[in-house]
Amino acid sequence: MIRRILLIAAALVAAISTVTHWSLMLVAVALYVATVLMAGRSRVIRRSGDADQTGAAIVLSVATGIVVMHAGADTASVFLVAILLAVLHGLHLLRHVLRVVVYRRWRTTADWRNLTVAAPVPRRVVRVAGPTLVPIPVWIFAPICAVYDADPVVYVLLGILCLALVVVTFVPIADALLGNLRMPTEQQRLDSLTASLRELKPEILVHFNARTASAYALNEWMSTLGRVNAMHRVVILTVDREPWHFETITGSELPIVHLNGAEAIEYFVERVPSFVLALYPRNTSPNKNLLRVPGLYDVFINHGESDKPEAANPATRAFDEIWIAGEAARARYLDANLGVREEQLRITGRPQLSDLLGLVATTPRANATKSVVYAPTWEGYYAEDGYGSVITMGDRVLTALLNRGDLAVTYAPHPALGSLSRQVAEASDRIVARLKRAGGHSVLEGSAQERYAALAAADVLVADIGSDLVDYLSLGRPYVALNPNESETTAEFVKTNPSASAGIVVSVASIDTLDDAITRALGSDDLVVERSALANRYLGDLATPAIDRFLAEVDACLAHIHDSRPARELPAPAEEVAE
Amino acid sequence: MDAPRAKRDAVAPASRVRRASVRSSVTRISFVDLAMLTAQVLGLGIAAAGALAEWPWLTLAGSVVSIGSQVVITATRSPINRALSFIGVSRAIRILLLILLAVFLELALASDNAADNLRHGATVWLLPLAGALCFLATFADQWRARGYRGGGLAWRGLEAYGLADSTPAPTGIASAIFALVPALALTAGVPFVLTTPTGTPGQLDLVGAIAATLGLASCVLSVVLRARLLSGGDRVERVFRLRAALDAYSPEVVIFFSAPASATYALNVWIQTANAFTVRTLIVSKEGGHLDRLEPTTIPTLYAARALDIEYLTVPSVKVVLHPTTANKVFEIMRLRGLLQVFIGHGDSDKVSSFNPYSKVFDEIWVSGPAGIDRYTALGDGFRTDQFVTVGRPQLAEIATVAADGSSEVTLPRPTVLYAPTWEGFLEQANYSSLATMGVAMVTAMLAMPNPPRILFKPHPSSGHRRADMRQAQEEIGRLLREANSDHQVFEDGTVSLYAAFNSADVMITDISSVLSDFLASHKPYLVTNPRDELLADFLAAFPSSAAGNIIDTDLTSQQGTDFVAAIGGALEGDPDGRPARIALADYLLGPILDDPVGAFVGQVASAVARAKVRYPAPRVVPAPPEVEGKPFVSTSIDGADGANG
Repeated sequence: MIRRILLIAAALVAAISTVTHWSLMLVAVALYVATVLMAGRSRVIRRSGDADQTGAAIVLSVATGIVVMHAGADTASVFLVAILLAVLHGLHLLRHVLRVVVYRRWRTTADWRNLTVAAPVPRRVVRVAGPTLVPIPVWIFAPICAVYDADPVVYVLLGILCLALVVVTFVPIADALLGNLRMPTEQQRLDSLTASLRELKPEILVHFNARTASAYALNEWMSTLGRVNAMHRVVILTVDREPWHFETITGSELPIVHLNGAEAIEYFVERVPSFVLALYPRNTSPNKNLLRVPGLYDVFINHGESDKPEAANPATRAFDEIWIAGEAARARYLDANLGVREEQLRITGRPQLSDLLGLVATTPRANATKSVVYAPTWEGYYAEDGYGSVITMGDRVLTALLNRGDLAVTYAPHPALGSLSRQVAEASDRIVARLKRAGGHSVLEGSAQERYAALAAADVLVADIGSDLVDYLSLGRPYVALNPNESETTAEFVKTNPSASAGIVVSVASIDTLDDAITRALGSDDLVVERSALANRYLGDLATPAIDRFLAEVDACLAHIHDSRPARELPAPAEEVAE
Repeated sequence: MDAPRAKRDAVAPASRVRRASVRSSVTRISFVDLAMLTAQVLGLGIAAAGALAEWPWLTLAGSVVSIGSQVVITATRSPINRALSFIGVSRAIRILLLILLAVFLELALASDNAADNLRHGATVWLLPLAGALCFLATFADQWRARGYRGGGLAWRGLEAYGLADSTPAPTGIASAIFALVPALALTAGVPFVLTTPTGTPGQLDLVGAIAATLGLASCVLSVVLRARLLSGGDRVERVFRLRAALDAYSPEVVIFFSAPASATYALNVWIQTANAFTVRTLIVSKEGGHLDRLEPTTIPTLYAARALDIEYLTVPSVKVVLHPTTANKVFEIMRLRGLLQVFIGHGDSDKVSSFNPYSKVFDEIWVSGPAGIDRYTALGDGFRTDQFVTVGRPQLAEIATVAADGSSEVTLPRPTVLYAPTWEGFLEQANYSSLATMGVAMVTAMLAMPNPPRILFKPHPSSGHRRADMRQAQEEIGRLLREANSDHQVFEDGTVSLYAAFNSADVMITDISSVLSDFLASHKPYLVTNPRDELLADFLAAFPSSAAGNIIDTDLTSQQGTDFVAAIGGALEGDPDGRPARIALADYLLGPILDDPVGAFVGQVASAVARAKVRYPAPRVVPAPPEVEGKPFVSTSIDGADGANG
């Protein structure tokens, strides 16, 4: 909004400079440059480019022409300036159009990483359009030259400088455009991709659809999938509007395929008959595009074990199996009467615990200062996702923790926290700012490994209902569960969220007791037995390494598929259908 | 499991991937739009040329052309506005450029002629101020248009529960045009004073004062209108009012519909039956356009774009959700607890898209006859026999039936053939249409018969959605029939119902589609196209509804040993030998013919509500609306409310 007001001001000042004094033009340019600096470098791909910026630039250019004329420059000079500005704006428009063409034409095409395929991948231009910067020297110097009666040669030099700048900005777009023009058809590229996958013979396809803020849901699986891949070959399939997860998926060299649309997905799966098992880390509507393809065994693996209602809903009936961590999840599904049948549920443990417990073994724990992790969850998509504490309790939780003086606080917000609600994001920013001011504390950025490291080093966890809390149960250490809803009593809260039952519950009304709760957790620690029982219920038997157990379950599932289902066959090659 | 899977692979997916198979409809730019675009550019050019050449009357003409064409663009809501905004020259910027070129350029140029004295005599700050306000007036109007906060919601039929039908987003054309008036006063007034031989600096000031006042008035108007938009149409309040009305209505059944704009028919096939429901029913559509194309109904209808709307507006009284489609957005209601989710489809057919593994997400899948169950269970993939309920097809009640002895409810004056091909489908894999590959050849062959039958042509309403060759074939057949100078007929979309067309024909030629299985109810002879020339045995095995007909390959022969013309000839004579097989097949696919199929279905819905109360006894708990700003339901966006923005 501020940018837009500054742009309007720049355009108005430039316009008024034509009938008052030429020096106002410099003010207009200054305002314009300020908006360019404010825009920063956004990673988001814009469809339309920055129309406001372009509009203001056009006004500045026309105003420059009038100012130069007004200053009494000779006809040749006025002509040079006018032509130069027209050419610069024409080239900007051309660049904009070319970028949109590249973006639209190749936006939906199949793409891949970490695979050796004969066909090339499309070149993408990340920023569709940027602000017009090249005319700035003209806006500044042309009026000055006109006022001080410069020679036309000066304008020519100015023009050469600007055009050189333009050529530079054209290089990446022209490069991408030329590269993409030589691209084989989508059909040929998909055939080439599937041919290479038929040699690789992957058995497992991981279907992923998410905003960038939700990339964590797959990232927490990547280390496990890396282990699975050593035995059964895994391919990640991302199906979003843009292949943004090429950048957000970290920690593994697994092949990633990006496809767009139900038709491409079906074609792809049909032509790689080695795929038999599809894994889904998120329960979203686009899952249907793969669920509807016959011949795959569909398994929901979720991203984290917790009492959140969203983790268990009737839409999961579409899966052949739902893999869960322990008995608690089984009860959650069956007691809620979702229509999910018992035989759909398979307890596979929580393989990520191997990462966490591995870190515990190598993490030295300081004795002098105790470490507390505050891990609030995010706002969620739906009304029923109302268990985030940042807004109702965040400030007071932090006050209580900081006032003790004997704690090193680690703030571990959910990776998607604040991604939908500005109100939540601002509350979180305030917490971060307070911790920075206080010094000696840390704030996590969001990677799975970093979270596990923080949990491994923690002496006590203060958390909302969520998978951090359940993962932490495996360590057997004390925790405080936060109930952020005033309408819910502690008894009701524990009943709907049994994962809180072996911790100390602090609710909005009883936030003053947090200090005592921490003291109790660090001191007497009287809930050891309850925690152990709860860990067993939520995460299963922790004696066997979780990853080994999970790998064995994957083996068993694949064996079951191969035993019970006929081998998938490659369909007849595509006929040439008359267009 | 093994055999059906192999068969499916053998016959179906010789598919090719097509880029962007389902495209959003492209806005068409008409000649008027192009003329107005040209006028915009010309107007600016003429105004600038007039100022440069010191011909104020030319500037005046340029201003009038420019603003006049802008008025037309605004009034007709032309796509030019959006296109120009896209490249950075929005309406406000165009006005500012016009002011620059028509007024400021003229004022800035120093010269020796008489008009120059006027310029130097006028108040220095007044005209720049007027220019700024004229620009701000257009800008403020754009800002006003963005203030609409009621998008993505519409409803009908809840008056009895205290909620009048929703009104569409205000277009705001009048205020958008009013915002152009100050600029017209300025850019026409200044050149006018300059051309007048008796013009004075005072008159120039007067023009500036008038334009400034008008500009200020328009800005104030925009602020007021925006405040009204925000207060009256707030989306959150509308959702709350809807919730209150729905609580009062307390529907037990929701018909949940999501489909592309061209597929409203998938809901319309159920409207007549739904009108007879004895339980309170609500139709929920995920796309706004369906509401306008819905067949007449007394059932309350709701369009709610956001997933959070569905969570909040599926009130606790709802027990059963009926799904005519399996679109992705089915997820939004499927995730809610305590509802009996029933797939009712929109025409039982052999098409691949009609039965896929995703359907096992439903509590119940309602099929017409035993064949539907066999088809799903043959797919394997986790379907269970207890998911299926055989309900017949209530829509077929109006189809005239030929009895086992050949007697018919309707006698036609002349032997008649109905050609009713299907469309190309969203996915090439589901393309069973004969229209592009065989349509013209078959019609030509029939017209060439010694006694050509009367031909009725009824293409699928979505034909040509994805492929141009379908549109061409459709036009070509229409031309052939018109030129044949007989009483042949083409039924355009919506003119004659499919079943009325069935009742007007003795024989039908069609493709694998729901049309074929519906036609079986008539027990009349039929021909089925085999547009991919699959082996007869494979074809019959994959598409049971074709079993009692003649299968025609693309070269108009049949692997059954006859050819197209002979098959038509035999069929027009009633094909009595094949009748028992047709009747048996109809019973298998559509369920036995009932006296009152609609009544039977209505009974099924009522008993589904009873089953739901047993299966999910606890009423659905609807969460309180989220208090956190930023969730999709509370956050406000401008969807559906473009107005005269741009």
